[in-house]
Order: sequence, then C-alpha cells, then structure tokens
Amino acid sequence: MGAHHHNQPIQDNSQFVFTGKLKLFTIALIIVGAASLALTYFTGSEHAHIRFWTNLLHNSVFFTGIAFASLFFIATHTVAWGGWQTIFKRIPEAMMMFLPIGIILLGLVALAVSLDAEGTDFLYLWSDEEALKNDRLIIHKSSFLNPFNYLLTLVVIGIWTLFALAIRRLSIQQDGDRTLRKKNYEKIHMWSAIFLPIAGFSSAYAIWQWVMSVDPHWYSTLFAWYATVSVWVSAICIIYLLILFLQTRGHLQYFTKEHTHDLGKYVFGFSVFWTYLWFSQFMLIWYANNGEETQYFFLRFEQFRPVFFLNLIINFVIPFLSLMMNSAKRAKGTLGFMAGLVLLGHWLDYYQMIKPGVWYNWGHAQHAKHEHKHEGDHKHEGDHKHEGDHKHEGDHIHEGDAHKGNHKEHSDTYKLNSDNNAKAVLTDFQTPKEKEQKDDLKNLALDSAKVKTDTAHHAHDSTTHDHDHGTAGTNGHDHGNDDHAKGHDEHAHAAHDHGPSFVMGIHFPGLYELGTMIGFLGLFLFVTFSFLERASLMPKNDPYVDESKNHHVWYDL
Amino acid sequence: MKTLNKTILYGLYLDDEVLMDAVREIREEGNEIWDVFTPFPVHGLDPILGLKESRIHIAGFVYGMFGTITAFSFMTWVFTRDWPIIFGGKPYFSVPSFIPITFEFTVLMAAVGMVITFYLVCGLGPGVTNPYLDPRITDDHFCIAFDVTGKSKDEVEALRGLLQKTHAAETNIKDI
Repeated sequence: MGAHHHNQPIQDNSQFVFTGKLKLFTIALIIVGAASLALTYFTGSEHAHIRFWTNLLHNSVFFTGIAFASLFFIATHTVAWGGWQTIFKRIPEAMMMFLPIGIILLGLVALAVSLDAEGTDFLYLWSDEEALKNDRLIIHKSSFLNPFNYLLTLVVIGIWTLFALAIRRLSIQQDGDRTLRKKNYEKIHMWSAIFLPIAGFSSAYAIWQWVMSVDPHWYSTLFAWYATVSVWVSAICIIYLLILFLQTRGHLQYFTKEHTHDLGKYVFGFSVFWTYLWFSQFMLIWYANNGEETQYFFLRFEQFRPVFFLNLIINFVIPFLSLMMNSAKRAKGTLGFMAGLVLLGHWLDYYQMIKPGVWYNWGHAQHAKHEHKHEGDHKHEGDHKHEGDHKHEGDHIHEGDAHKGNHKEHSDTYKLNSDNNAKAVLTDFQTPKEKEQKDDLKNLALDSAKVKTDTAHHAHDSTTHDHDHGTAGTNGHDHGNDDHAKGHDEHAHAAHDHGPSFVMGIHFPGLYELGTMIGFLGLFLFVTFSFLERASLMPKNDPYVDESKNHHVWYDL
Repeated sequence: MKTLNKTILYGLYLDDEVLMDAVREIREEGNEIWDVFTPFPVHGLDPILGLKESRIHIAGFVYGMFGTITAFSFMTWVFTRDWPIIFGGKPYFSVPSFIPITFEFTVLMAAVGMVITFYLVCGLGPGVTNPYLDPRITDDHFCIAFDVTGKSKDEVEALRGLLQKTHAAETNIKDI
C-alpha cells in the first residue's frame, strides 16, 4: 500500500497561484477570440452573420457543456462512492464555475433570437416568420421550439449553477473544519444524487433547444446522449491537460500513473461509447431511409464531407487504435497528446452539428428570395421557371444542396396535404431519389406478384419464374446505379447554379473559427484558474483523500 | 492425489495486505517462491512476485482482427458475389449494415479465443485433475508455497521460520 510514497516524501504544493503572467496569457487568448468574433461579424461577406451566430452558439454551447460535464463528473463519482479522483477534484470543481458565464453567453444568443437580430432567422428557422407561416412542421413544433422555451434553457443552466455552487461550497468548507469531514461529504452525496436525474432530463431539453433545433425538420431521440457524451469526453480531456499543466508547477504530485491510467480508460472508453452512439444514430437513419431523417446526414455527407470524416477519424479511429494498449493509457505524453486531439475533435463534432444546418437554412432562404425577385421582374419568365421547377422537382430538392428547395415548394407541398395527415407530410419529405427507390421496390413486388400469378398458371415452368425474378432484381440494382450517377451530375449542376460549394468558415473551420475557439478556451481557463486559486488544490478533510493519494501504485515498484 | 511429485511447504495468511508484505519480504531475502494462491485476484501481486505482464491481450487482439476480417470479407463475398440480394433498397455492398455483425463476430472471436488460449496455457480443462494444498485457499486464506522437493531439513526449517516471521497463521508440508 503506497510503499513507493512512504519511501520518498512527496513535495506537493497545494496552493495554486494565478500569476500575473498567466492572467495576461489567458486575457490575450480572450482578446484573440473577441477580435475573431468581431472580424467575423464585419467581414461584409454575405455569410458574415450566419458565421458569426454559429460561431458564438457553437463555442458557448461547447464550453457550457464542458462545465456541465465537470459538475456531472463530481456528481457521478460522489454518488458511486468513488475515491480515486479526490486529489484532483478541485479541477472539475473550478471548471464547473464556468456555468454562470454560460448563462451570459447563451443569454446573448437567446436575446438575439428573441429580438430577431439579423442572421438569427437562419440560425433557428423556427424563429423565422416566413417559416412560421408556411412550414407545416415548424408550425406543428412551435409550441416547443419558440423563443420562450429557448429562454427557459437559461433557467436550466441556472439550476445547474445552484448545484455547482452548493457542492463547491460544501467541499471547500470541509478544508477548514475537520468535524465536517463526514457531514459535508454526506451532504455533497445528497446534492449529487438529486442532481443526476435532473441533469439527465434537463441537459436533453437544453441540447434540443440549442443544437438539435438548428435542423428544425429533423429530430433524433439519440441526439441528447450523443451530444452529452461529446462534452463529457471533452471535459475529461481538459481535466487531464490541466493536471499536466499544474504538475509542471509543482502541484498534484500525488497524481500517479494509476490516476493517469484511469483517465486514459475514460478517454478511450468514452470515445468508443461516443462512436457507438454516433453509429446507432447514423445506422437507424440510413437504414430506415425516411427523407425527413436522412436529410440530416445527406447534407453533412454531401457538402461537409471533410468534416464528416475528420470527425470520425479524430474521435474514434485515432484514440481507439492508439489508446488501446495499457502502456499508452499510462504514458503522460501519449495521453496528453490524445487529450488535446480528442478535445479538438469534439469541438469539431459540435461544429458539424451546427454549421451545416444553418447553412442549409440560409441557402434555402436565399433561393426563395432569388425566386421571388425573378418572378416579380419578368413575370412571363418567372412562370416559365416555375414550370421548369416542377419538371425537375424530382431531381431537384434533395441532392442535399443548401440552395435547393424553397419555401414556395414547401408551401405547395403542404397545400396538397391539407388533410393534416402526419403520414402524408412525412411522405412529402422523402427525397425523389428515395421515392424512386420505393417505386422500384414496388415494381419489384408487382413483378414478383405477376410472376407468382404466372407461375400459378404454368405451375410446371419454375425455371422462368427464377429467371424473371432474378432479372427484376438486377434491373432494380442497375437502376439504382444510374440514379446515383445522375444524382452526382445534379449536384455539380446545382452547385454551379446557386453559389459556391465550399465556403471557408462554413464547410470547414477557418481562422476566425479557430480564433473564436481559442478565445472561449481562454475565457474558460481564466474562470477555472480564478476559482482554482481560491481553495487548496488538495482537499484537506475529504474522507477519500488518503485513498486517492495511495491509489494503488503497484506497477511503479 | 499425487500428480506433480513435489513436496510443498506452504504458509497460510489471513489477510491479503499481510500476504503482500510477506511476499515482498521473502523475495527481498532472495528466496524463490514456487507459487502464491489467493481466493480472489489480489491487485498488484504479479509485479511483486516478479511475474511478467501476460501476453494474452496480444492473442486477444489477433483473434479480434481475425474475427473482423473474416466477418467483413465473408459478408462482402456473400452479398456481392455469391448471393446478391437487395435489402431495404440498399446497394449490395453497403458497409454500415455490415458493421454490427462485424463487431459482434470480432468480440466473439476475441473472447472465445482468449478463453481457449488461457485454458491451454494453464493446463486447465474438463477432466484435468487439479491438486490443491488446502481447501481453505478457495475460501478465506492466502497461501505462499515453496517447492522443497529434495531439500535438507535445515533448509526447510529456515523457510518455515521465514513464513512464521512474516505472520503466517499456519505452516504445513504436503506431497502433491
């Protein structure tokens, strides 16, 4: 038991000091971020506003999420009577104090949405008056997706903050008074136990409002899990990186390879869990092939392919292969590098949850505007174009191009379905490609039915039956291929027609995006360091502190 | 039941912490321990005993890769060459639908392969007779055993003294 440590007394500096130099550094980071945000807003490009709002939303949600996950970290470990994390628990305890800042940041977004600031209509299509008039699904969902409910998410962060404050206060109070050793621990335990179910439901509510409603036609019941695990992994990565940083300053000297190993298992395990959720969501949507659902992945796969694959490579392939071995999980350098990479990866994950949806909403609106103008200017031509649209409609809407499809088409669709039959609405959200596929299947079924009848008539001619059936199958397949090729042509054509298919800062994070992230990271570190300074890094009277200090150190012998 | 033709001197301990300290002390004095028996896995005993890290996980990785490759290539062959059927309007070669089975088969191969390897390496299996020193080792006693086959009485007594010095509750000699 801890023989290693008993032999050599450990010099551990338990008082962190947020030095002027470090303060200056984090403030410099914040300035970089503020400048990036401002520059994004004033670039004058037609995408400037959506780029600005998405960057603000993306980073606010991501870092607030990490603060939430830090609180979740403390709560789960306390409820499970975990002891090993005690020596570094002041780090998540400081990180969760970013939650009040989250209220301000997301409050800004909520305010902008409520006041209908320029660009927010595309951020959340459900706040757009046009859409609220014409889009049946948005009308249907408006009792949930509206500015009032969006503001309620601030109350949700407020509730989390109360828990964070209570738990932090109880924990720090213990330091000065040994008699509170057990009493306060039990209180923290109780607060944690109450927090966990609240956290489960409220985080889902918040993430639906903040992120999932960016694609307002789409929904996924797995989304909240998937998004929450993403920030959970990120929080663990930041915790580890902060530990490494603090160790260079002579703190946390009790943090051994065993603790490293445990955090390594978390990074590895939850990366795999994240992939599991990602894939579960993807495969069900891919397999069921409902246009309303596939639209989400179709857009990301067709137009955001580099981000789509990079997301999977950074967050799954690399950590899976490189952290699989025990020795890698225990090595400071390897785990530190992976923590940085995976943190960036999950930031990118949130990027691809938000940007494509907003880009689609924006393109949608631009197309509608364009169409409208066209009709007004040249009435005859406009009509002509309209006809053309109808002719091409089949190929047109769905190739996932942001500029395709418009309010007009949608409203036509809805008119046709005025019987308010939900099923009919869903059918109309199917892509023509899917419709064709379904038709193929129907034909296939009809063919076999016909063949069956034929066989009944000529019961002895079984060879023909097999042959016919085989042909039908092959035809179906060939047709699918043709369709695929045609889809590609259409896509290229559409991209040429309606604008660029690659915009820096939209299709891939540009310099401003990175700058904004650096700024938010700076703000996050500023808050964390400020709160780390206010208490001893080593909890003095936590009942588990000795267990944590002697977290089995066998392998070091 | 004599299967190994060995004479074993063993000491029984009542606590795993005491056992660990005993093992450390005995080895520090340069004595060779034949084996240690515990009723449950004691964390960190292996490195104190000087045992190398098991290589079974490397075998597990190889079995897993075998499972991955087998499942994926088999499905690919079946659905593109041998018996192409359209499922749900998807292409014949559709990777996402292969993933669950590939995953399951990987886990199955790795798990079963590792169990079989473990049994073979340890010489375990149905019908194998396993000699035991003391039935209490499977309940609540911890045991350190020395192979004293052909050793002089003085040597045996010295080892026995060492066991007693490290707080063994009981020492015995048994031929197995």
